[in-house]
Amino acid sequence: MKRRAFLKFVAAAGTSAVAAPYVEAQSKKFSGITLRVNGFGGAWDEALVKSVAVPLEEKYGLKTQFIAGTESADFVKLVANRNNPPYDLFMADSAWMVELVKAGIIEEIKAPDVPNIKRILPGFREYGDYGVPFNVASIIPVYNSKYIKRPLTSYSDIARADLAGRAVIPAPTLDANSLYLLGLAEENGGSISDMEPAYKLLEAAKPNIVALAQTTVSELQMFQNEEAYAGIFTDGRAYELRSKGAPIETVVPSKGVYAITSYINVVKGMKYPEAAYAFSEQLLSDEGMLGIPRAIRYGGTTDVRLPEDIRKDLLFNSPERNALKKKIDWEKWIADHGARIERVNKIIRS
Amino acid sequence: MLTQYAPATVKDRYVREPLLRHRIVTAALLLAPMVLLLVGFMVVPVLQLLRSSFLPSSHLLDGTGFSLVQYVRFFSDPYYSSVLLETFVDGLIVSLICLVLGFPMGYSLARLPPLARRWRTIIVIMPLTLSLVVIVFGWLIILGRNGLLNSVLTSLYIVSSPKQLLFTRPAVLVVLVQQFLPFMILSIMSVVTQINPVLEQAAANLRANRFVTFRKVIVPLAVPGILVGFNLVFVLSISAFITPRLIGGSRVAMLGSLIYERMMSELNWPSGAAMAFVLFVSGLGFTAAFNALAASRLIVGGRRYAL
Amino acid sequence: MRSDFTDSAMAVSGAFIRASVYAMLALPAILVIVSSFTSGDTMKFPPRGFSLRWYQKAVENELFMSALWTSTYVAVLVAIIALVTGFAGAFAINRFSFPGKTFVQGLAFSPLIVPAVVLGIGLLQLFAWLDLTQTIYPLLLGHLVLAIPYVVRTILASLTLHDRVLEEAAMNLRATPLQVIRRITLPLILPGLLSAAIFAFVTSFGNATVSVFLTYGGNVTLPVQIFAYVDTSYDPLVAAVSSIMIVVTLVVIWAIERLIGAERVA
Repeated sequence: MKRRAFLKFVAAAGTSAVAAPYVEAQSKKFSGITLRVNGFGGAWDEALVKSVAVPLEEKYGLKTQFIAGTESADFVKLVANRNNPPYDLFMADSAWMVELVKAGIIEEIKAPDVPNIKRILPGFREYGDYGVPFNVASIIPVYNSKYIKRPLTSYSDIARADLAGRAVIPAPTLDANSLYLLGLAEENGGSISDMEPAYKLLEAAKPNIVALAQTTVSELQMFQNEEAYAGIFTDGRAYELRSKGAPIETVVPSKGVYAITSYINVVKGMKYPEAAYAFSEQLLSDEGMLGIPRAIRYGGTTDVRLPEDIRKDLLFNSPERNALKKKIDWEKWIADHGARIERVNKIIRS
Repeated sequence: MLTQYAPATVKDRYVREPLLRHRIVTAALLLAPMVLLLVGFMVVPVLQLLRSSFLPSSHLLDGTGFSLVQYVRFFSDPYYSSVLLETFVDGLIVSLICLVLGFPMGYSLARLPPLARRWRTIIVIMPLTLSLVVIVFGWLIILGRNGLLNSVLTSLYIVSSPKQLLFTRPAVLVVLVQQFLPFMILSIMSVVTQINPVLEQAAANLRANRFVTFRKVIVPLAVPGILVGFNLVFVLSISAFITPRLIGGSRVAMLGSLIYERMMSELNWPSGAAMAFVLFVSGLGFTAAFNALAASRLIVGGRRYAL
Repeated sequence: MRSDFTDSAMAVSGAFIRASVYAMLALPAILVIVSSFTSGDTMKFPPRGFSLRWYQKAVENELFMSALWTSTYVAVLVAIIALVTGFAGAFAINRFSFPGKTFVQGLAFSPLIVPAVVLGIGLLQLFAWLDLTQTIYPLLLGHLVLAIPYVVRTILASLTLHDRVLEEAAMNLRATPLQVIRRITLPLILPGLLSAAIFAFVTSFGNATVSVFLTYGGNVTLPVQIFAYVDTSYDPLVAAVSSIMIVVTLVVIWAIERLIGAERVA
């Protein structure tokens, strides 16, 4: 892809240099502007380049630069540089949105500026006018059907005796991926304000747990190398494993699915709001919305019609499934995370 | 002319006196760039964060005031003290293993002809250049349940079925040793290359066997290198955080990873800064005490043996 | 004879330790290099087939290549500056007596024990205040701070060891202090300088944990790029990039040896 884009660029530069040097450049609305976006890295960024950045450059001459980093360090950089933000657009998941809104470093995005906002499914935009949701990942139980013959059916099944020494769960420090803890609580009579049932279950599941995964990729390795046969994972990654030949089955818990949304935000003080709106609009268009699902099978957030080959692999692929998506009080979830991390650490590390 | 080698003759002192007057200025000039760099870009930013460890809030740098609540939280909960202790024990184990393995390595490297030394040095340095996340991948292959080590062990009938090796404390220690051993080897090597081999031959001529030569000649002379290596490995180990997180699968607690998590996942900078400060002070105190002890024992003893 | 037995026991155990240590040090890297030549899509061992496709991908990937360039020139600059400032500092500590010596020594050592996050966040705030975050200086200065302890410690150990008699002799022969340093001290501690330079280069070249706070759009270093890449992706591209990184390091080490003239010492 990149090579093609590069060749195209060279070819375009060559012809324009020979023919009419400035006509081409001036005819485009945002030529000369480069939007800086914090990248998530790898296949995710590549999908966005293909489905959002390249079309925008063709249409408007708008360039996009994805800058590699980690979400937390990028956030810290943004907070430290309020007067001279290092990014124009900021990608963040539901958990980080709480911090972004609280820090007051992002602008609201209203429907008149980005008409495609109207296409967002009900319940998928969690922060009022802040942030445009463009992707959703589910945190769900998975298992290797080669070794685990009795399918898991709920989050609580992670404590099942037959998984001894064979289960992996995301680390509690990942606010988003540790939503399963809320699942454990709510499946056992608890709630976001009463997490005790979850901790009790975790205590029971302790002999099963070989490791807490710090990143989704390290968890992917554990499943791929058969260090773990079951655990809590994301739907898109489980699909990735299946597509590479590992028999990892995903479970849709009947009492509700906990999912995490990715947002694009306009950074306060950035210079080109119009270009940022164009980016958001393209992200929410059919082409932009299908980019990530096509590459890594995380679900979309709009009423886009899903091609069958993609639809069958997505978790939220019908109104009934969408209804399973649990509403989460993110603010409370984040407010409690210090205590939660400490508690889980003590349970697992003792 | 030979007499001029003798130190502190009257004439000698007379000649050097004007030089001595400038000595403190020279020293200051020599030190200035380094000290300015360290004060400006380490002490100042760290002090700023140290200040935040006395904030009562638990989010970024919010709030004002002065409070010891972060330190109280650390010291009132036995969990944290036990993690601190474990971290130090781990650091000691790693440094000792590195010393035991690194000494013969550094010594033999120093005594090799240049060409052979060069490519071996490259093997030693190579792990340092690799990104830790990539090294971890290599270790997953080795230590995995279907990994190399397990298949060797099972085919030799040492174990009957593959063992869980990853995500355990020994695995973390092994990877830390591999990560930091180069520092020990290179420290010792650079010191041993300066020990004149004639001394060893002299010892051999005096009928000392290799062990005696080693203990009474080489070790005392290599003490500076040993101390450097030991200190480096120790402080690097106690502040390590990626290895315990990735190889330990979060099941192995080390203070470095707790600090990282508190600051970057919880964004609780005051508490993280307080923990970092505790680690800093206790780590520095430990190495200082260790060095003082080593200096009084080894160097004094060493001088007696060597000279 | 007792001494014979001890000698051969030490020789055998020494050889055994050396062999296993070399294996332990090199194996993870070798496994990564070997798996980078896979023709398959996943990082697996043993790799499936043989191809250079991931190298082709790596070289075509402008993100990785520009990051490699940034990393290399920052690390080279850091090695040079750290060597000069570190040598001056170590020389002063070792050869002069002045008040607060232990303090300075502790200062030079302390960057090692400041947790990376603390240094990273602290530096980020400082550079934001100086309005320098979107320049190369944060990386350069941050890495310098990280490299100083290795340089100072290594050179200090060399200075402590080598015999001062030669320097004093030269002084008595009316050599100027600069001449003494250039003609006597530096050549004598060359091995130490060499390790110091390599330490400094490698520290800067491999650092991800502090760099993550100091990079900006135009200046992402390779370890940060790799760190971010493996956060979401898991393919042999990273193995290929890492192998390229090893090659670059070897070239730089070779160049440093040439420059400092390690052959002459050995």
